[in-house]
Amino acid sequence: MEDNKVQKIYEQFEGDYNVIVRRLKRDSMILRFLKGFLEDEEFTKLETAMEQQDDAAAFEAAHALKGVALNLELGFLSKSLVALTESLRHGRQSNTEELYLTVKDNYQRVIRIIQEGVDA
Amino acid sequence: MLASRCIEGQMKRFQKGEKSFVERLQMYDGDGELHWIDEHVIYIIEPHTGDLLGVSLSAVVDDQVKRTQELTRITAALSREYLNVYIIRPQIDQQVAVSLNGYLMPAMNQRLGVTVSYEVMLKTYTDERVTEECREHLVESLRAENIEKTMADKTEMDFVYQIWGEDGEKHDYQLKVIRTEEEGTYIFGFKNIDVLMTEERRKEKLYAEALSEAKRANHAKSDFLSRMSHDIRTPINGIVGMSHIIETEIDHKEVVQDGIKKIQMLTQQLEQLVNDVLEMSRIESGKLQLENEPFSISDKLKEIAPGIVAMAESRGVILAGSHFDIRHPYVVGSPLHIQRITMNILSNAVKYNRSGGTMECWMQEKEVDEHHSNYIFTIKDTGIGMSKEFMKRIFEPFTREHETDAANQGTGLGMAITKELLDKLGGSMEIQSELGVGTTVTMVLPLETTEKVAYATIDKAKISLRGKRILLVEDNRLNLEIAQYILEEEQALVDVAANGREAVEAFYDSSIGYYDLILMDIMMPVMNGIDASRAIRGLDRADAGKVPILAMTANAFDEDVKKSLQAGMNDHIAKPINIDLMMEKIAKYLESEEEK
Repeated sequence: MEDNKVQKIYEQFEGDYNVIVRRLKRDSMILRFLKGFLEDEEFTKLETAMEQQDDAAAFEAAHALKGVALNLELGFLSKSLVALTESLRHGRQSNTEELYLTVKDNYQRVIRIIQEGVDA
Repeated sequence: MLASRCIEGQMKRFQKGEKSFVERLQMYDGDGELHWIDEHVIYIIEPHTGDLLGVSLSAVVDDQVKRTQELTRITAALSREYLNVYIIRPQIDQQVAVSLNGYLMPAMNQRLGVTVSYEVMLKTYTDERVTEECREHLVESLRAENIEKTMADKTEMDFVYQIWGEDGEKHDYQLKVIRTEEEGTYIFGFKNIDVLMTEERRKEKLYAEALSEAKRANHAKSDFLSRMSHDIRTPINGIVGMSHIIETEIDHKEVVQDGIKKIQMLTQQLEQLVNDVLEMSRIESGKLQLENEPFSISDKLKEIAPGIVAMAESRGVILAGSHFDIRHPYVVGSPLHIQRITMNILSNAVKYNRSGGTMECWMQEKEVDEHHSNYIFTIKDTGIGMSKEFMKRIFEPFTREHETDAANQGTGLGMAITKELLDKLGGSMEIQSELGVGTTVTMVLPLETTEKVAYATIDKAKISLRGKRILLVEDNRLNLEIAQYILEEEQALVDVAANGREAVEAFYDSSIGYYDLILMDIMMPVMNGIDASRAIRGLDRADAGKVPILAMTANAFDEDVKKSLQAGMNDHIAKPINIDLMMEKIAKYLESEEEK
């Protein structure tokens, strides 16, 4: 069913399809930007910053990635990024590492959903 | 002369048995001046002839008449204004009442025209009526042997004193003493001056209050300054200390990194403090501009929810629910300030909480009349609570209960600002708290309600970005593409910049009035949106101060918004983009540009 392909992707994201379609108007555009997300570099920046324990850079990357995720209505990924960004806002907190691991896991799930969904 | 005047009349008087009479006449003298004459006539029967003879003795009494007239005039004038009026001759111990409209002493036989003892009256009156504090002064000034001295060089004098009235209350009285031209003769007038004195005391009280308020304000100001200097010095000392550590430990990467992190935190604290102080002074100096626009109060509150949810999640605070019971979501007021107040209270409920603690909020509407409602916002947490001592000072600037809690290090101005803002909006706040148990804040905001129709039709029909030139500034390529696409779908002409510096350069290179609007991300590499806006506003060109700059930010009400307004940006658009809200905001600024 080509018609509700994007809708199905959003069910997996736990994101609101109605909201994204209102923002981007057409499924084709949504797909175009989702493919764009595969190219986005913010997660790599976040990963590097976390590895190097550069909290300021980690905060910036988390913040930017959160912006993209919210714009694309990436449900569970957005939520975990909101929490991670806040925990990094004033330097690393005790729960930062744990929140980061959740984000990492969620990010990989989203990438998989997009790759599989787009090809479907 | 006598014969020529009514002899028959004289006869009649004599026949009635009068042996003599006095008549006061006015006569001209040889110089043509009019004089008062007292004519004393004595009748005598000539023993030999039996004829009636009248012996007339005349005296000029001009002075006496003048004095009597003066007395009459003064007493008449006093009687209109004063309750009881007396003519007093202390030296011969006489007192005559000429007007008795006020209090009569039961013990004294007070009647008009009757002469009584001055000394007795003075003693009885002061003993019976005048309060103890006033009595001695009055008696000493007025007793027969002193009154001359008291009135020396004066033609009149007022005594103000208090009496005990029949109602058992103290009353204010005035005694006016007038020296007449007749030697040793005074006129006393008494009246009640309660009204006058009440007014006088009210004014005095007002002055005293104003004075003490001015003193209090002055004290508060110096207190504020000294606390502020302390709060500024603390992070500066930290920064100085950390830089010394970095200097000596420059080869130890971990120490250096830790030091830099701490310096960044301290700098943020300092910046926050300066911003809050500026905001506080803006509110206090009356420069705060309240909006008067229609908006949906539930939408505005929902806008701040994501920030709070995130904060709560990162701190392990459980959101136990939010309950809306609102019949009229559309109101007229100052949405940004309402958001600010609510945000402050909500973030406090999260900040001063603990992992596993809860937070719950309610919004209720109580209708006042057809067009007005009170919106009651209750925020309850099971956090750390506050001590009674702290509660008393919570609205004072720079009060913090937990000085040592670095993670929660606020400026101590949040509640002061919240309270001031709420006052300006005509609202009120009540706080209940128990240390270790939690806090409940209840705010009441009176607002004018409105219809959705009126609100929604304002811009919608007119909104169009067709042909509008927009400079879009955003560092993330994907976000940039999405925003550009959305704007171009609305037929705007979009130029893009990837950071603040590019934006400033693009604006600098454009012709005057080329851009209708700038949409600016806040957090960007190279130059952030705040600095870029400040730079654009600072450019020396006609449109530098005018071009609307809207911030795009994911936290609809975090520090970024405050900073962006301080940097000269006009407003903010929440991320993720909500097309309707975005279009409404953009339209608002494009329209106001067109009006100019």
